[in-house]
Amino acid sequence: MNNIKDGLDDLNLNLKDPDNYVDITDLLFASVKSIENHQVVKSKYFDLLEGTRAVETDNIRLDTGMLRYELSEEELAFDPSLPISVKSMIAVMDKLYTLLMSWLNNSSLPVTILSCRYVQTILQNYTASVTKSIDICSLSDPRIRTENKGGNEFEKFLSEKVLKAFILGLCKYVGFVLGVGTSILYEEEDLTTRNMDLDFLSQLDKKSVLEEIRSAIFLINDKKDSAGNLIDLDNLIYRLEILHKMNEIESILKLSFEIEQTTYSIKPTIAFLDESVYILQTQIKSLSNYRSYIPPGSFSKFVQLDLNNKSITTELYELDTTESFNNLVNMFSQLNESLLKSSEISNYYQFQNFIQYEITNNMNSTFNVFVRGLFQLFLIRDNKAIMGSTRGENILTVTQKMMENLNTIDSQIFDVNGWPDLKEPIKQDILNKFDQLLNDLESISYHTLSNSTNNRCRQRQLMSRGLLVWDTLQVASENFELEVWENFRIGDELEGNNQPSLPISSYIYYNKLSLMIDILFRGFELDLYKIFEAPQIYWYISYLSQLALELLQGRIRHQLESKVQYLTTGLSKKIKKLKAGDKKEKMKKLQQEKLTHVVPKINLTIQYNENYLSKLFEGYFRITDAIKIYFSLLHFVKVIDLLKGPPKSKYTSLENIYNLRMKPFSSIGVPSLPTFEHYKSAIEINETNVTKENVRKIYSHCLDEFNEAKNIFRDLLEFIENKKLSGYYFLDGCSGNEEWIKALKKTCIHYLVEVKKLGKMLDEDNAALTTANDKKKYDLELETGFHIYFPKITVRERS
Amino acid sequence: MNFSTFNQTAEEFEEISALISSHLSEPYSIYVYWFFLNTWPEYCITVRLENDPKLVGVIISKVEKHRDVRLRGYIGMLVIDPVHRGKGLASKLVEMTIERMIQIDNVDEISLETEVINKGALKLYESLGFMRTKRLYRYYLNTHDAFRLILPITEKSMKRVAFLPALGT
Ligand SMILES: CC(C)(COP(=O)(O)OP(=O)(O)OC[C@H]1O[C@@H](n2cnc3c(N)ncnc32)[C@H](O)[C@@H]1OP(=O)(O)O)[C@@H](O)C(=O)NCCC(=O)NCCS
Repeated sequence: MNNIKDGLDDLNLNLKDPDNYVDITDLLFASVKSIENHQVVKSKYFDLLEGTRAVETDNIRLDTGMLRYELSEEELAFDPSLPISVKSMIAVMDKLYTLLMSWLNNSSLPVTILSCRYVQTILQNYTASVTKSIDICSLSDPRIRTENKGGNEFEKFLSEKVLKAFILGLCKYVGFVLGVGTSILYEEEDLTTRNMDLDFLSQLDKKSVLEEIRSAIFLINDKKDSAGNLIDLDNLIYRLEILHKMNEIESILKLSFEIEQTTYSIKPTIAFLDESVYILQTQIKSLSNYRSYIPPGSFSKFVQLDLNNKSITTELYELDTTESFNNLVNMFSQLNESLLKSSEISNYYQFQNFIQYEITNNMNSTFNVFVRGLFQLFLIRDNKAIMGSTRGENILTVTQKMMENLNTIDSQIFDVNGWPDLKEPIKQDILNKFDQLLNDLESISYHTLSNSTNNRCRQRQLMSRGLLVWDTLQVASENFELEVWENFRIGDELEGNNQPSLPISSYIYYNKLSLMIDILFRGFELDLYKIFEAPQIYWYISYLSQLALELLQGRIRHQLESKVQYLTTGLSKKIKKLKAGDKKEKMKKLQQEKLTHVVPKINLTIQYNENYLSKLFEGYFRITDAIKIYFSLLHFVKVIDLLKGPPKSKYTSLENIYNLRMKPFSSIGVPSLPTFEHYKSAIEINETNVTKENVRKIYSHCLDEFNEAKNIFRDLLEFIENKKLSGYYFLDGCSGNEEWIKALKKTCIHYLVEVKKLGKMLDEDNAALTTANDKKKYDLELETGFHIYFPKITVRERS
Repeated sequence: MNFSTFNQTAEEFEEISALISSHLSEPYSIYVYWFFLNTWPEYCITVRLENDPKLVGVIISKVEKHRDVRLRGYIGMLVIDPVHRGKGLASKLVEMTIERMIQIDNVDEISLETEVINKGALKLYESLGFMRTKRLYRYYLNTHDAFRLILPITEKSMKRVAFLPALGT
């Protein structure tokens, strides 16, 4: 106890100001006395996570108060209001741009932007003021008074006018990013919003900040004759312009596009994004040229010492200037590209493919985190409008369009007026249930769409959560569709077998299957699987892909063809039977309308399902089946033992690991999860068939499957590249789909080479299996592959 | 080698926190050590050389309910003095911990997080049957992703939370 007391005395607390500080020493020691040994005293709001970051007094790594011994006099007493030279001014700007990009690279404000004393001072003055006006935002720290500030008139002007405008613009922008972060992004993993209780100019009008920047630019231009190096002044202006444009970004949230209607070109409206890229690339070019002019002491850990800090001392963080520069350019160009493409989308096939292949699949760490969040806000507005639609496109309508694009087009169940006559309470009851179903579908679409801009790790977790919803919905929709069909004949009949069509539950089933496949595949992308798990996963995917393929080519195709048949021949027969008159004429008109508007759409859907979706799943099926066979082959030649899991698995088993891995699917009703026993029999590794002949047979089968897969992906690629056939479904200028399929094809080719290598090894060795049999000679290696879902799995000779 | 349970003295507490803070990148406050060591002293195992009293390794863990449906062991920290790495000490500490968790608390599963680039730790845990269940985006402050690893022990660890009955108190 005495040690602590001495320590406190050492700290030499300055209690000159009894109004603001209360001496609690006695109180503290009195309370400590009542604590028993081995007891942890904590507030219930203080959890382990907070504990891991908690400040610990007197510990040099954990006590920010001790920074006063680490900081230099220059840093402690830095006066931000001193006049500043042009070169120093540019140096500060470049450093701040670098720190901004560093913050957006998973760092925090206190160790990046707030380490700048200019920024801290302006924000402190603003936060403390009551008026929250622009005049209050000065660079003077009232605690620091420099007698003779030095500097010439121009340098004073730079400090008072230009530096201030720059810092204001930067803080306003950071404030906007913070807003996007707190509403959309994940705290800490995407963006850390800890702000040291500083207010980032929340009540300051954006216009007046932009006005400050513009007037700074104007005044610099005005003073060009009288002052300094023209190149430096131009450089100064470019940096201000970039900041101005950064603050214009918010305006994109007012843009509104209408899918399915030719919209005006938005190019001029968002030209500032392109211009920023141009200025950065042709004028600014680098953020490191002025670096040696940074005023000493202007960037430090001072803020961590000075302000309310809930966190431990943390080293300053700064990305490399080249990387920061590139990230800055990317921020503008990624936003520009995403918006331009969005504005060109003209139907919901394009919309879905765009979201899947240009957004969802691109959300890796090279995609700017701010643009990720912002695009989400742009895509789904507060009122659920899609891309700001003013004509009523929202999540619900998009959901229905996506359903129509797969199989529900012109389904009778959606045409409430066309339902058979029902008593009012019954009808109401059915309508309520139907509304509930549509609401649930809307929620899961919302879940899916808003997941598209999350980081890839988060995406997979949320997909897994969504799976439960899809599964429940499938049961609910099936019950509903069957009930209204059996009791009231609401819904369509499949031609030829008198069975109900059940389009909604088919749509849900299809989505559930593709989601399951994607969740499984993504484990490879995120490096979750050990090699011994790979065959289990690929085998399960091959099974699910086959089901998806069967659904598309079976029930879904049947639904669509039945619909066409009904609208053409079925309806004609019905009309024929009617007596001439109003009703007949009405029906004729209706049929005509359907023939011109609906039937062509259904045909487009059939084409898409046939030439694209089915092919894709068939490809997935073939390639994963081929890999499964490849593993059986590797098992026979004893490069891997498929029945052996982790080396020292005395606490668990391969079967347990299989079950844990498949946990997300364990509760799914249809298809029920295959057991580990199913897996064992599916890989056909019965030890009694290890004859040379058998292995040869498996070997050729494996080659055939990879060849078949390659051909399917080749066909798919041809379809996508043939704009006449596929242009309707894929947005021009987007290459996501194409790249995806190309990578799949490359994967097949890679595997073909690998399998043949294995074959050669077997050939060259007269004793066929013996060399390979020697387990110690060969090993398997997992490396990055051509496609994110297919790492390379290669046989290596052990070194 | 001498493996023993934390003896709950201030001296050993100091030794343990000193060993950890000099070899783990993230600094922990005294609170974190107290949180683990005080509540679960039986899950803090130390290792010392036969003829030298110096602490060369320690593992710190806890056992708590997971979302009120499973009992989950959690390995919080594991450090071996670099001079004594590669001798199987860490493996032994982890194995002892697993065995204790099964014996004392009958845990359903054991979990931990480790950086994706910590190949040594991954190899160690995975060879014992821990499986990567999640990748956590930029989990550590130095921008690295982490893996959550789980060792499944009972059937419960292989069922989704929503389908398990509550443990209650
Ligand atoms: C990770 C750490 C605890 C391993 O301690 P250790 O006593 O050397 O480990 P062991 O000798 O018990 O090794 C066990 C297995 O892990 C693997 N392993 C351990 N360190 C490894 C390394 N650096 N590279 C590759 N494999 C390694 C080995 O495969 C070994 O198994 P094997 O000998 O049967 O092949 C130690 O390196 C350490 O203290 N690191 C710093 C702290 C840390 O990272 N802790 C884990 C975070 S949860």
